[in-house]
Amino acid sequence: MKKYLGILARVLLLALTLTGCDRPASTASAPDPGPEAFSVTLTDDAGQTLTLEEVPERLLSLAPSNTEILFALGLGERVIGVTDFCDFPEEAQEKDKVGGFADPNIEKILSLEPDLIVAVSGLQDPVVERLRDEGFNVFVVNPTTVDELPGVIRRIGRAADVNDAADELVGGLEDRIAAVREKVAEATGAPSVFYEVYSEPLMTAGRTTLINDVISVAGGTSLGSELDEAYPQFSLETLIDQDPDVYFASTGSMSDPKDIAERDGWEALSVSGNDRIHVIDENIINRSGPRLIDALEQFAALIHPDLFE
Amino acid sequence: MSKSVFIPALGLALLGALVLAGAVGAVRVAPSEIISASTAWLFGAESLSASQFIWLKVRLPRIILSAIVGASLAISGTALQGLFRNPMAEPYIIGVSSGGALGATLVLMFGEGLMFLSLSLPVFAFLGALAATGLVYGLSRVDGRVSTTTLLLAGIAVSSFVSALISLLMALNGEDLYSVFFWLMGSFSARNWGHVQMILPFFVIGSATIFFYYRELNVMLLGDDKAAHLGVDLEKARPVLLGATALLAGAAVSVSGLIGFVGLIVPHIVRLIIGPDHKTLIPAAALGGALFMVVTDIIARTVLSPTEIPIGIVTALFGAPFFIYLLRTRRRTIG
Repeated sequence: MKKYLGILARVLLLALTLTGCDRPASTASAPDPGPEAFSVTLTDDAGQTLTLEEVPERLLSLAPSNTEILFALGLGERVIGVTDFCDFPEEAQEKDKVGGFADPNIEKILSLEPDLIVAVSGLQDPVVERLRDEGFNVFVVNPTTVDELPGVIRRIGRAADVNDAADELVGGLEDRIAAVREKVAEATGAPSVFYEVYSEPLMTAGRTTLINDVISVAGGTSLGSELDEAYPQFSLETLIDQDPDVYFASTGSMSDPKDIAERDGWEALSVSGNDRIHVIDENIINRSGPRLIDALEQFAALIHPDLFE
Repeated sequence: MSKSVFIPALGLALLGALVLAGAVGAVRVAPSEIISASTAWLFGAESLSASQFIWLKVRLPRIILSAIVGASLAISGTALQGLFRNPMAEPYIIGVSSGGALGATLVLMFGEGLMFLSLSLPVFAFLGALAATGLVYGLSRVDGRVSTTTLLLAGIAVSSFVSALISLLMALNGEDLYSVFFWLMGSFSARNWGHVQMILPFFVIGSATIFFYYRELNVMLLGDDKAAHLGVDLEKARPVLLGATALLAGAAVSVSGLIGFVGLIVPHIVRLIIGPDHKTLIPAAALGGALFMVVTDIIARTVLSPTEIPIGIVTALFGAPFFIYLLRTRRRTIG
């Protein structure tokens, strides 16, 4: 059992690219860089201070979400390595692979000689420590709410010396988040939402997860929002009893999400009769990259269809 | 305690546990709702209220399923212990359940094109369990005898190898990776009447076969020489019994994933109380297994409600210390 639990934990993290670690306050404090002299000091989400005296040219991403951020910042050309799971944008797949998410190949990473490694916290902590010991510049990101995402992107942009691109990208994302908030504020209530992580056993996303925050910003109340565990098994009895207004499943949920309404037991849910079961692309909701805001907009429109017509 | 008291007492305890299991859950269902739901079920219902539905379509099948799985695992463990003439034989410990899990994993990963998933899952789990049982049996039987050391070593070897195969399959199929892991944890979460239908024929055939061979199981305790004197041909009985234990363990795995230690704890306690005669041991173990599983599932689904604890964790919390206790206290008698 212990073995399975260990692997389960790894697998969860692998699949969801989310971590529930302590999140230190992140501050960016870059002195105004002159046109020639580049020097930036940043604090990452692991609480570590990173000082870069030269513009990092060779960038390595250790998570699909980070890869998406780097490419969205227009840094695709400078990315020299990604993980096996980095499949977006398509160009990312042509980069050198450093292995899996939980267990990237240290030798491969060394051979690529990256100037800056963008990692995530939690599962990758041991890898990060190892890479720091080797003297690499490692920047750890771990947004746990929608509102932390712009700050993360801005700091990555600052580290890579693409402040303008970061401002533009972040500005756009912030506007879209604000627009969702504004629309949702018109709603009279927060419909109850169930998010299915997995069906047998039935699992949902708990209070500490980014998914839970996305649902909340999108104007819904997740049934998982009262649970402390990140990905708890959820009682089907409670699901039927609470009868959520909207039901989400990701494409990664094991049983074919299109058949959810026809599952034994699920026919008692109101959502089974009124087309309010929705399947979300797991890669946009599980990755804390720019596309998370796509997920936010989709959630908001599906939770409050009347407001987003 | 005498057999004539113990078995009815177990039956009553199981009944009590079933009633308790029906009464408690994440959602409170009033007794009147339960009665009306039951009559609705018996006499054909109009429309069910939410709590009637929860009781009838969610809680009840889950309770029944956990009872059947518990009985299957306990009978399977009882028969394995007789077959191996060794008290440490248990489907989970010696890799039979892992074999079943391998079969089921293959179906879950590649079985999308298969026509009858509800049938192919237990069938493949059975084949996997059968292969693992045969392998462990062949490896651990030396001169007609199975010592605890060889049994546990063979079990470890087979179950590690099979687990490695499962892990390899998952590594090669990154997409489906985590789904199978959740499933392997062992759970009765969100199970329904379909699962009960799926396991029932396997349970009936497997347990009836094993009970039918209770004399042979008794004679096996004496050894092959004495069996020959008594005119019992054990070489015919063995493959049938191996098949039946694999059938039960495989069917259990296919509906509930890997649940360990039930087949170890229950037959042991029952044997301590009423002795080794399989005629009474098998039905008593069946009742005891059902009782243990229903009770552990009550714990799994109510303690942290509405969060559920994977039941494999609950049974391992009870089972692993018990296993260690057995190893220590019985060391002299099972070498």
